[in-house]
Amino acid sequence: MQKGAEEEAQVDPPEEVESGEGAASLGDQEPEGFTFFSDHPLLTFLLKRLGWMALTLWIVFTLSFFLMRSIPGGPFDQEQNLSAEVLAKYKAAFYLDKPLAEQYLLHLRNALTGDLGPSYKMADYTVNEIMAAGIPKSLALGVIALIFALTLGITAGLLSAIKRGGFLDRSLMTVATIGIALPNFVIAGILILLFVIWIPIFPAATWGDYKHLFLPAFCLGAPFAAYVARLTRTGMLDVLSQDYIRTARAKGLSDAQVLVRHALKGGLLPVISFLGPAIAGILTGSLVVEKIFQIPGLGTHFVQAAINRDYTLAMGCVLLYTTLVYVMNLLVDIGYTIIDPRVKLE
Amino acid sequence: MRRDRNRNLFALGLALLLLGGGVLALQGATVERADFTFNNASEPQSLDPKVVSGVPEGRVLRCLYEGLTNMHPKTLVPVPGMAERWEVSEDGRTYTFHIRKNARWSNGDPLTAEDFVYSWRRFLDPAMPAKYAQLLWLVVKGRDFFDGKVPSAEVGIRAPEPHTFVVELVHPTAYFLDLCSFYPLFPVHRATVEAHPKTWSKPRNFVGNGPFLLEARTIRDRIRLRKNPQYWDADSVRLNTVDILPVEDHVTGLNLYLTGVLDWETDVPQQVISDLLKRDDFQPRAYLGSYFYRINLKHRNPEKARFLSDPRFRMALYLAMDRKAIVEGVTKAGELPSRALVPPGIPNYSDARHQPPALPEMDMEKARALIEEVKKDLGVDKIPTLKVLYNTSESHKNIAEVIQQRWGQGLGLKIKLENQEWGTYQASQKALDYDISRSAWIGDYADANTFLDLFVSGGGNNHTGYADPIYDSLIEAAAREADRDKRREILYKAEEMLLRDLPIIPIYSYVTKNLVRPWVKGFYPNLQNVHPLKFVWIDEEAKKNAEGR
Amino acid sequence: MSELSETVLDVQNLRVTFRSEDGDVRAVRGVSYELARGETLAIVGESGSGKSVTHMALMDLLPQTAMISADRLRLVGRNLMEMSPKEKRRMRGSDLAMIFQDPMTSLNPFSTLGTQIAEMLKLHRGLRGKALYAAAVAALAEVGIPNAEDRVEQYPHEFSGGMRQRAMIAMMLAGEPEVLIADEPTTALDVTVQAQIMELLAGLQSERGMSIILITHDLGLVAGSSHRVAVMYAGRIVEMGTTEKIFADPRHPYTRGLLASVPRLDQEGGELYQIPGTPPDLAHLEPGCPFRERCEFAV
Repeated sequence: MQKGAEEEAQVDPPEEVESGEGAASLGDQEPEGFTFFSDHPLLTFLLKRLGWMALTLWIVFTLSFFLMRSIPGGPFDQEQNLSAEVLAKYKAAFYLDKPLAEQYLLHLRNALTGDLGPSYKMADYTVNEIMAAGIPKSLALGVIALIFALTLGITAGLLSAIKRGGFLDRSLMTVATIGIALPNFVIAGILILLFVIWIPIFPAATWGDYKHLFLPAFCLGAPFAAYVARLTRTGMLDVLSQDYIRTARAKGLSDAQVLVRHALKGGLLPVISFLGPAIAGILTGSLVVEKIFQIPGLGTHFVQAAINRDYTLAMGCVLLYTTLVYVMNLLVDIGYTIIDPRVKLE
Repeated sequence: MRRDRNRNLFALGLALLLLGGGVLALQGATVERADFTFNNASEPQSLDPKVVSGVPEGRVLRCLYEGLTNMHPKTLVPVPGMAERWEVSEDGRTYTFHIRKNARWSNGDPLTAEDFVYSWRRFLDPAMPAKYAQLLWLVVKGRDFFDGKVPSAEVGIRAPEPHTFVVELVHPTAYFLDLCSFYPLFPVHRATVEAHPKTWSKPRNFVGNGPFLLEARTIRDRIRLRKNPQYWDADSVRLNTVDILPVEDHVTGLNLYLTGVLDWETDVPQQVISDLLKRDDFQPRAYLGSYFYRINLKHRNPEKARFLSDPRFRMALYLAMDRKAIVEGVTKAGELPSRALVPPGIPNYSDARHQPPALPEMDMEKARALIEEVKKDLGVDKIPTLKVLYNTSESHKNIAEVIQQRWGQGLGLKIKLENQEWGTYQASQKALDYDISRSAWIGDYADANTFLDLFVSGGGNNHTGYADPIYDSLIEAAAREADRDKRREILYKAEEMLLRDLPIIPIYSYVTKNLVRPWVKGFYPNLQNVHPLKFVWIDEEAKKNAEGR
Repeated sequence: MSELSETVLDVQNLRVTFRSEDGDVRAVRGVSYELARGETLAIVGESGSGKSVTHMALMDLLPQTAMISADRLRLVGRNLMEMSPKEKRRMRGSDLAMIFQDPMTSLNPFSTLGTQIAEMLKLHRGLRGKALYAAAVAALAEVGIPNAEDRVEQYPHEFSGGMRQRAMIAMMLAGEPEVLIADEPTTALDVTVQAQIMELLAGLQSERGMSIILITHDLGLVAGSSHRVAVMYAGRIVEMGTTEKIFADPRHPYTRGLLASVPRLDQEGGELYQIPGTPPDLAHLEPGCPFRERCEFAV
């Protein structure tokens, strides 16, 4: 198992050897584990995790607040044309002249009410407006990238595992190794050269219809597809050597039935565990890809906010990323317990 | 059995949800191509003239608004804008503008002198002034109002009649009419601003007075403009729609240009300049900007301060710098090596008919001699290691490496390079926390003053610690001087002083790096790299021919 | 045992060789036996003796690297050697079934037992819908699992070890096989549970009249539950006979060694006998008796 599910969910202790189990154990029934449609344990689990999330967000808020302000340069210090007098008035208007502790409390109070304030650098918008405009674009990019990663990765991994040691296996795994090693801006460069300049079938950049999503989503998903392929292959090979696969064949099932009904779930568990880190990776990876393809998503806003010392927008992005990663991991953990009945929500 | 089915259904549901999300994600709208698309290289800080202070903002605002005067697209001299004519008083301090009778806001409201009174007072508003507020300290009591000492009514801005706007200046100002076409001084629509204090600049509320309307704006995506039928000179506007993209990465921008998305790209990546120079659509021209190194004259480290504050030492640094190697080996777009701060081409200062002061050419012998002299005078043999600070960028780094090599091998100095990300770099420079720092300045208007007044004592953009009352008084005297020739001579003296004291080391003057499609007409090269879209049009015939080929 | 007449499984001179880089490993070197209807044949031997490989070969569950040959392989009158892969697959589970040593790892942890049993019922008996569900519940009940209606909805990890093996038996018998190969069915289980499982198998055998091949290294288990015993060593059956005869009068020194190493209730104290040495390397077998290195009687 990969990390992620392992940390949050507990596997039943294996009962390889039993001792002292006598005739009485015939009627013995272990306590009912996670029953999917009884929502009681799920609810407690969710409440607990949301509690942790709130705490995490507060810590992230506090750390980011002070770290951001400890870096030299403020949002209005960077403008060359500002006279000292005007600068002072701008700072005052954004509380920047107040003691740091007071600023912290003011911002924390506003954040608690859901108001992250105006963007310091894009005066026409509030942070909430900017993020609301960015989320759908980043999500669209992320979802397509994830679909690329999963479909390509799982298909390649399955083919590799089935044709283990063959030419197909070796070529797919070589491609996967390259895919993991190549940073996505390099992949982007190659793809742009191929499909924008030489064979102009995709637009070079900007946001618009589905054609604009294809290349960036592919670049974003490719390293993860490679990783998923390797995980699928190892997972499948591991499962295919399990005793219960032999049992399934002894039952008289065809190879395809054995694969789909018995091997797939276990073989894909490592992929499911990897989804948590993968989603986080796709979110952060989009910082680079969004810049290259000029996609007006969260990544672009986040990077620019950091460069411009747009404290409020940077803070909004940090909080949003934290929430997204947290919620996605939560979903992955729940998904894990659904695929693997041995794992319980903790 | 049932539990398996539930689990499988759930897993299937999740997979379908993901796929559904994918389908939803692909439902983006196709954007109809505009008549003219250009890359503005960044998202404007705002569409409010009061809040902005940058070149990209200027490009957008000049489409949406118009000032009292306009810039001539070729020469950039002030031509009538909202004011159809104006008179200047004998003493050069009172300007009377006659607003055109057919001047209108985009919602049809008539535009009057009152609009300018409101906008300029708002510009100076002590509570939340414009970023460029000091521009209007030129106006009588402008500074006092900004400081909250007098009410707005006392400021020297009046509208004696609906179409007469009168401005009283503290002293005659040679470039005042140029300022009137500068984007921070554009008027805003009072009723809209007051009705929607926070959202008036959004497309749904926006009211402007320029050649184009704000049709749509998506953050860091695009701004869509449409021709404004209410504009007084709408007949001359030939573009119906304009798209403004904020692509920061110029490699991406170049790709967009090469694939036909952009008609105009405002900058290009450094590494392809040699290739682009072979193209007809890339024609670098002189640009009103200087690239130079600042030197910290008030260094906190006494060891370093001894050398850095010695003008002979700074002169040695200047003399040992190979500017030709930099423009030919690094920047490559035809930049001119500088021997002064003010770039060439400024009318009545550094144009073809006038010779402003300049430093001598590179001279290693002299530079070495000066270093020896300084060492001897100070009685030290070892010069501490000096750091050259630059903001992270390949081309700044390459330039610094050339300089490091000359100062190192030529003068025997130990030079270290230090790069900082933009925000940190700005803060270091502002706090005088550096030895030598890469710098640049783009002039706001075509006058030497925009460069020379940087280095007045305590100036907001001085950042060198240079402070000389004589220099300050020269800048002040030039501002008050109404006579062009006399004023020029005063400014020459100021620059001469600056070049003697050398708080900065000139390196080169900028060139524009526009990529413009051959069928784009009404687009003229000029010193300030300002290209009002009001005059731009597409030669459809040429475009068809070019695309057909 | 005279009423045991009809032969359901006929194995003559079965050989299995694994190709490896280290040379061919001749894991099974000519095994022959006949199994009658309703009979229980115990195959006894150390690990590596080829007893499991022989039967995996019959089930066609060996990897591609295994080369199988035989003079005759017949299951209820059908020639296994001439079957197509598809026919062999159909044969598995319906005519010839197999249960495995470790019911924890041999059951799919991701499916409920109901689903795993129903899979067999669907495949080999064509059951669907309500009948399928009822049959699955009945199958669990038949092997003595209480509350079968609830248990069909449970996963292997929710069962105890003995219950899991019962469920495995229920699953593998769902195809109503002629012959059940039980490969060390009780090794992973507690002693008392072992007896219950053997009792269950015996009961089911008499009900259904199926034959059982009991693969084990535990002679103690063999004594009470099998009709005949075959002792395997180094890929060959070294001795075969009725259970009474083998226990009373073992001929082969290996059989004697095996018998001596079984703990007996009537002999208190003393050290348990151990056959010296280790089984031979089947990749490099020299001519002659492969047991001679470890034989007490060897010259």
